[in-house]
Amino acid sequence: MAILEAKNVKKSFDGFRALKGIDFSVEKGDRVAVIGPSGSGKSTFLRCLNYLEKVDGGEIIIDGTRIVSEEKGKAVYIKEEEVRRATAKLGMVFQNFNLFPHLSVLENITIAPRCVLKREKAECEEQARELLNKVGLLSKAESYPGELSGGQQQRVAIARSLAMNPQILCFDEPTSALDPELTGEVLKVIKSLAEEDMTMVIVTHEMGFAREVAGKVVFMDDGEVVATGTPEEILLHPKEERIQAFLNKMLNI
Amino acid sequence: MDQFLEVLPPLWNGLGVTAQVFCWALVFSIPLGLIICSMRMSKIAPVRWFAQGYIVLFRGTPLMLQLIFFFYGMPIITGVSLDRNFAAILAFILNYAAYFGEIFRGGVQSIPRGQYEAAQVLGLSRSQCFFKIVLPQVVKRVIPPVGNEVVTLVKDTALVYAIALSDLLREAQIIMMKQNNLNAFIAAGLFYLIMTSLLTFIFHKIEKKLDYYKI
Repeated sequence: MAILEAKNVKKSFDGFRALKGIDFSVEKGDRVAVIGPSGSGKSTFLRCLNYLEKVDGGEIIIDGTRIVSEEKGKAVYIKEEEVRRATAKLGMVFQNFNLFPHLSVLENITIAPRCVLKREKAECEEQARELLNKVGLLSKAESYPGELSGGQQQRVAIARSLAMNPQILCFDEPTSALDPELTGEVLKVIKSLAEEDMTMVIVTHEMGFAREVAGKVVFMDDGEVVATGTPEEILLHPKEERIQAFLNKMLNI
Repeated sequence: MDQFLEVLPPLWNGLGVTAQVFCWALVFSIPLGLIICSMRMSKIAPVRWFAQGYIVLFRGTPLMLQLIFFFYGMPIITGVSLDRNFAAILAFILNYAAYFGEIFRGGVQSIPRGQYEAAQVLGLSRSQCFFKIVLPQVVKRVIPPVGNEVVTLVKDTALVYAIALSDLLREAQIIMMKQNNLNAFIAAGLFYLIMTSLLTFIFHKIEKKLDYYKI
């Protein structure tokens, strides 16, 4: 059974139709890469799943909870509280990290478990150190985000998301804001999560990475899902012209 | 030297009045500024309009005019006359609250949307997000402009001479007329300098203290 499902999701910004009816589903243990040209709606879709944007129509079902459904052509959300309880099962890693600059690395990771889950400080810190160890930044526990490189900040952001034990981790172009030489360290961490069977949805421009990590690739263009399939089907032997054109452009850079 | 020393007791009294206006104005204008700021950013349009009107009015007219209005104008319009000190302090509070309100709004609006989004996806409630994520960053950002306003406030207190309050500057002026030299003015200038330097020093310390993180 799908742990995350979207049906016919629609979203417009001032008349611009960013999402024209997206169908999408994620099973437990899936690693889905969402690829496509800039402006195709990939990030918008991910933000809709995380309730950072409200959809205009369609359905989103997270682990059995239908957070939004369509009635008479309008999107109807369930109570905010319940939406938040459902979306808490999703973690989100942003393109720009969005670490809290006034908190140390350790505090960035422990703030949500402490404030939201009301867990003991010592327990949260122990967990945070384990997570930092996992992303290779244990020595930076007392540093502030401003003292870290972009790659390090993104690894902290991943640890911060993991601290809330999400069932699905979403990545919104996690390496797009990084210098090329720093993308490797972040991709390595995501790969290690993949090896632990973490369920993930990754919006990315890194084609090689998508091929390596993803079990399923979704290609989006112009607010629509053009094709869904295995990395081989989509990235190596694409049938659709739009995908071929996109891949050619990516390879010619 | 004798002449110089004899200016001190009256100046000292004037300094007391200046300090009184300064302290009351500061203590009340900052919380009022917070209220103005939250009203200005309210989702309810009439509340927002009220705050906008308030800011236009108090930031758009001279402080001296407001002082004169509260002391000389109030009795004519409402029939209630205010105590000289009270009228002065009231005008300062209302005027500075408009400025502080706008400084705080600038601070809140300078916090990137990503901070709110990160707090939301981590499950923090709106109030947790405000008090634990937004407010600490706003405080850091508004310290320099608030320090600027506070130093300006020290000097602006001299405007109370318009309603004949015996502050530092007015006392100095009276002595100058008597002694026919600049001693009292120089001494008063030194007093202002000491106060503003002290405040600058304090704000510098606070900035340093909050400098443990960049941005």
